[in-house]
Amino acid sequence: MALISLGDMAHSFMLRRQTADLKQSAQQASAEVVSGLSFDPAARQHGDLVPIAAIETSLTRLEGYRAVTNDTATMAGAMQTVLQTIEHQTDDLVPALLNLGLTEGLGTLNRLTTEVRQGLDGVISALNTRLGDRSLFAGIAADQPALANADTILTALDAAISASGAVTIGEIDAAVTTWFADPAGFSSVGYLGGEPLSPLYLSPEDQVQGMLTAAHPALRDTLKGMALVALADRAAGASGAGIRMALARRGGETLLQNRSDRAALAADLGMAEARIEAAATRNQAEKSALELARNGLLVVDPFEAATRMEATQSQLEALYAVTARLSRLNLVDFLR
Amino acid sequence: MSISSAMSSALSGLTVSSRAAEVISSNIANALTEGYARREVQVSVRRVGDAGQGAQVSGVHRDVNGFLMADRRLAGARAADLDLREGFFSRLEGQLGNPQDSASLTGRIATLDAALIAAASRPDNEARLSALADAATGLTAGFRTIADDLQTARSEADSRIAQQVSEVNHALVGIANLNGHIVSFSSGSRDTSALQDQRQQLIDQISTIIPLREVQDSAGRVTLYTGGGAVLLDGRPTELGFAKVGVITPDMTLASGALSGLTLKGRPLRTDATGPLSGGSLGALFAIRDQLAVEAQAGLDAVARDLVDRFQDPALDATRAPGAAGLFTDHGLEFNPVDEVGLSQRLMLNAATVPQSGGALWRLRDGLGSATPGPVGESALLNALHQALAAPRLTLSGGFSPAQRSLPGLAAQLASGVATNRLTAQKDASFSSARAEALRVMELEGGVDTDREMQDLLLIENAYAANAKVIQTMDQMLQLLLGM
Repeated sequence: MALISLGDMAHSFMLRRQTADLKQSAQQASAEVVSGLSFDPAARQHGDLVPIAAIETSLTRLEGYRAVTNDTATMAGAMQTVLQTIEHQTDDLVPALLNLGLTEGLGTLNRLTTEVRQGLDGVISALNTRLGDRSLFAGIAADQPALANADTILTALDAAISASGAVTIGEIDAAVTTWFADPAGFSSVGYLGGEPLSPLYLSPEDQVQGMLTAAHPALRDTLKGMALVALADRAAGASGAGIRMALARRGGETLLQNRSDRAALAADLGMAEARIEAAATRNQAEKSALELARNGLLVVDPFEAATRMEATQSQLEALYAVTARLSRLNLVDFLR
Repeated sequence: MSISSAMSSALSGLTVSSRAAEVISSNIANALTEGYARREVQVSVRRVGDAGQGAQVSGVHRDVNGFLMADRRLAGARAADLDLREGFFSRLEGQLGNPQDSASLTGRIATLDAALIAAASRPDNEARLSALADAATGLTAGFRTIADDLQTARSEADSRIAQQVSEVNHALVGIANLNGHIVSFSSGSRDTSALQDQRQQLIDQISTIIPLREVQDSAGRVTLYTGGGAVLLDGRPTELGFAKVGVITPDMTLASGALSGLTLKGRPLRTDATGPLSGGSLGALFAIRDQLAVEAQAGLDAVARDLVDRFQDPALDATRAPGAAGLFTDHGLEFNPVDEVGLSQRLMLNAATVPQSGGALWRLRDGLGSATPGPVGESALLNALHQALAAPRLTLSGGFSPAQRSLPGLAAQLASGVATNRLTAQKDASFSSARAEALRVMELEGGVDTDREMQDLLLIENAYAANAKVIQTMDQMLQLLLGM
């Protein structure tokens, strides 16, 4: 193009446009340097936001699961403590109870029944433990205590025994066993909680099924054993020293048999704790992996961004210099 | 009489010089005036009898490159068109938000997801249920904000159409007037450059609104056609008709008759992409109002519908009576698929779960229809709700390809679609604006160059001095003769 003149406006227009362009890229580069994140992540993914959104959704979801694993781990830990408490309450009693009538006499019986009666209170209150206002062993009825107090249970047992007309040790034992198994007995009078909890999801794949309640057979048998001993002190079982002795011993035997069941229960709970811990660890690992992946999608290389910013800056400076030079370069200034 | 004719030649030289200086001063004064075309004095030999004697100004030439100008106008219209489209998609993308941002649509869905998980872990915990209700309300608010903004964008497009139509109508009247003046002035051989500049400015002004083709006849009158072939000005100006609507709601469309189309001389004109006025900012505004925003609303409504449908499944909550609203409602009622348009604006959390509306949080746990609170530790429904949110489900509407998606997946798909559209529009817009700017620079290069004008002025100064010198010399020669 043979030009013999070049319009003034063409110059200024071009300079203006280039300044605007450069300023925009300088702004973009400086934002990337400061935040470390891509200025336009969508452009970097060629408009495909699905991976980023999926990662963000998973990260937020893992945050939710972290609450679940924390809750559940605390709950299982507290339950384990309760089981240990029960273990302590019953352990020492069993040998003494079994020795009744053999090496021990009535004096010991009286002492033991009182002790067991207190122990029953302790076990029941342990099973009624509330953790953050949530009754641990009451299943879904988490706002209720899991068990009625010892008096209520023993009174109900008294009534059940006298209703059945049981007098021998075998009959009394049978009546007590029936009461504990009867839906209208223990399950409605003694156990105040609800069904076991629904499965707790620890991650999309892991769940903990049916957490323990006070209605579990192993815990029920503990209560039954202690109740048998305690009954030796009450009207229904107090018909004679022989019967009292026998009842207390039967209670001791029940507790002895129940010991292994409770151990199995504690072991199950321990397994659940391990699963919760493993799920929490897996979730944490997944979170780290996802964060890495997200960084891969969003983070800019700080060196590259800084270099770009530097380059844009020097380009802008050059442009300013050129603008100043060109504006001084006109014929009028030389026509003097 | 050669001395006197020499005098007369020199005099004509002086006249030409001062006329040229006048034109140069006008050029320099307008060096920064947009739309000013550089003038050039055309000088020819003055003929007296058979011989040339002296110089004369035969005319003032307006230095315009018609082809370049036509190209620049078309490129400007296209740039304006694509720029508006890009602006719309950027705005929508901003409303949908960055996925990293918890206030984005996908972020809000993820928050609901996590709140459901946390609530299922401690269904007895009031705070968790309340967080769940907040997350759900936040999600409905998110949908509403985006949908409201889409309709605002449509309303704004509507008012801008009205404004641009009136701008075009005014300019057409002005151009027709100038046409008349130019024809009558040039028949009286007067300089019409200034009038032509004004006319060009008016045409430039509307050429970004509607792509224009200008045809000039021998008398200097211009006729204007749109790129699509409609005649806008042929002798008399035509008038575009448009009626603005106040507030636009999602169900109001051009097809339903609730929104105004365009008329030309009272006859309806197509306003879609292949219509005679498309290709400029007016076409883009119609596209935003009648197509882009409507499609975006349909996509958003489809996501809202997916959300409602998931929680309206009869198998999910046994306590909910048939026909009663699900967890998310269509303005408090059960959602009916025939009412999908505008659902995202009417989306609400079921009032039975909102304490402020007389509901209770425990219904999130125990079921929407339950009359009394159930066991506080029951999390079966909350677990089921969470599974409903994440389960793959066939997308039924909104122009999405039929596939099984989770709710977060569908929302991410929507955001991706918008981001892709934005990037494409951005690329097109930056290409077309670069082209328009390049053409503009080329046009401006032909504009006033003060250096050149100053050079010319130096020449004229010399010529003027020389002519004056000739006159002085002739005068001395005459004096000499007279003094003999």
